[in-house]
Amino acid sequence: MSFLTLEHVHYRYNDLDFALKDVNWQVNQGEFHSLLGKSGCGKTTLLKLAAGLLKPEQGKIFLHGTEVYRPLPQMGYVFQAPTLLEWKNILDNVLLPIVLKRKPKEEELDFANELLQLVGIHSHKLKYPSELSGGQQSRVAIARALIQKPVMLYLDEPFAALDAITREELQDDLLKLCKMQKTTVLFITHDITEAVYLSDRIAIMFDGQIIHDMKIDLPEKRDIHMRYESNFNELCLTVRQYIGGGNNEKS
Amino acid sequence: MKRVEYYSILLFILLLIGWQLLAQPMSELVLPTPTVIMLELWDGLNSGYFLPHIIRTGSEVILGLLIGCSMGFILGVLMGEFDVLRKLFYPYVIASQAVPKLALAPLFILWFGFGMTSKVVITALICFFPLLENTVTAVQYTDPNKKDLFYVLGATRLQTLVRLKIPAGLPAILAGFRVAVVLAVVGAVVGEFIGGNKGLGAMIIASQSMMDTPLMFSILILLTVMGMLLYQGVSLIEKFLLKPYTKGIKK
Repeated sequence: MSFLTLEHVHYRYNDLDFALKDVNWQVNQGEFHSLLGKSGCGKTTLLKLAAGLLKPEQGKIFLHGTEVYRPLPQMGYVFQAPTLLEWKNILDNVLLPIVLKRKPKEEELDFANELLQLVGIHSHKLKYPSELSGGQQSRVAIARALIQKPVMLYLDEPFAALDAITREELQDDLLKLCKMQKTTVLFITHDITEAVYLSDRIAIMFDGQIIHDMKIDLPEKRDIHMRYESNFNELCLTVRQYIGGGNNEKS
Repeated sequence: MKRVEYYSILLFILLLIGWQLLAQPMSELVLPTPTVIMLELWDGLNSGYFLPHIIRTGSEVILGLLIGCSMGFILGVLMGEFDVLRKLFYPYVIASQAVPKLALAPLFILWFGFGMTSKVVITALICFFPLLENTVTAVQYTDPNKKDLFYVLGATRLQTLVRLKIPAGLPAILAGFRVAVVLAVVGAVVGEFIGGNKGLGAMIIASQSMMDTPLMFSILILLTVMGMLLYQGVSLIEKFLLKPYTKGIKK
């Protein structure tokens, strides 16, 4: 059942410290996995390795049985910043992954429009990125990552720069889109509630290693009320304790 | 905003009046009054005396600008994209930057004769460097996230260059073009100073030997207007091309 597999993965940026030390991890098909940890713990490095943006120094990474050593066409990637092309309008930005390969077909154009409708910015499709707010730009980035119907989606703290309310809206949009296409997701965040709300599983990273991997037992259909239930908050507290630090560290 | 514009026009009128009052008691040979200069200018334009010279200098400027800028752009793109070429050529580029290019004008006259060619070569050489410099930098320093995006999307090197690096660097490249336009007029006029009997630069030298100061001033005005028109033209092109980049940014 394992879809994305990391076996004994090591990585370092220079000759000194390992950014990742012997990481073993599996992501199952159709699941939403979050990778949680403090800044500098190696989350982004792990994501870049899994997506083929970096090559592991030791160890192997497989996606659906294929070894990953460069980005594969069946994956989508959302960066920390929206990373839109300023000189193209919103629709063309969403179509970019296809345009780089061939002229978009009629149904691909329809799908781009449908995606823009789903993330609620269809009326802005002929505008340029500089005319959109940060939240709207993030929506475009997500639509662009999904245009090729990837089987695996990687997201690197895509909502980190957004306000809390916009972030909640985007989390719901993201879940809706991923469920619709049964996409497997690897999501990086340092926000505990975000990870708990979105994920089927959470892996907690510390100092280049995955120190804990837990299943999130919440009803599949997430909604706003859930965020304020005791069950949800208990899960957040559990995760917080696994991360460590906080009050315990001070003493 | 509007008010400042009125003051600007008012200042111009005051300066003209001041000049008129200052120049009235002086010899025309030293400082002619604006009225005398305007009459001279009007006469010259009406009789068609200036026209061939304007056309000559104008075509030198435009030809030199086009040749110099396109060569600077092409070499800039190549040097920005290929490390080997950059390392190979950069010492020479810096060395040739250090040579005062106008001091080469006599040499070019020697090589290319008193005709138009030598002036076009000088102008092209002067326009070449600002464009080269800006293009190399622009192509070299593209946002690493956008480069990652193109890598993830499986773009070829040529696609990344044409669809990402050049459009992303366009604002910087056009800034180099704007600098080149101003320098182009200088290059053509200095070329004409040194050799030749046609063009506005040659006319300035001629008016000096005839001690016709009003004529000299009217040519200076023509050159200024020519430079400003070119600059405005380039600004319009720039504004048009960069519209999507700045649309949402309120001035």
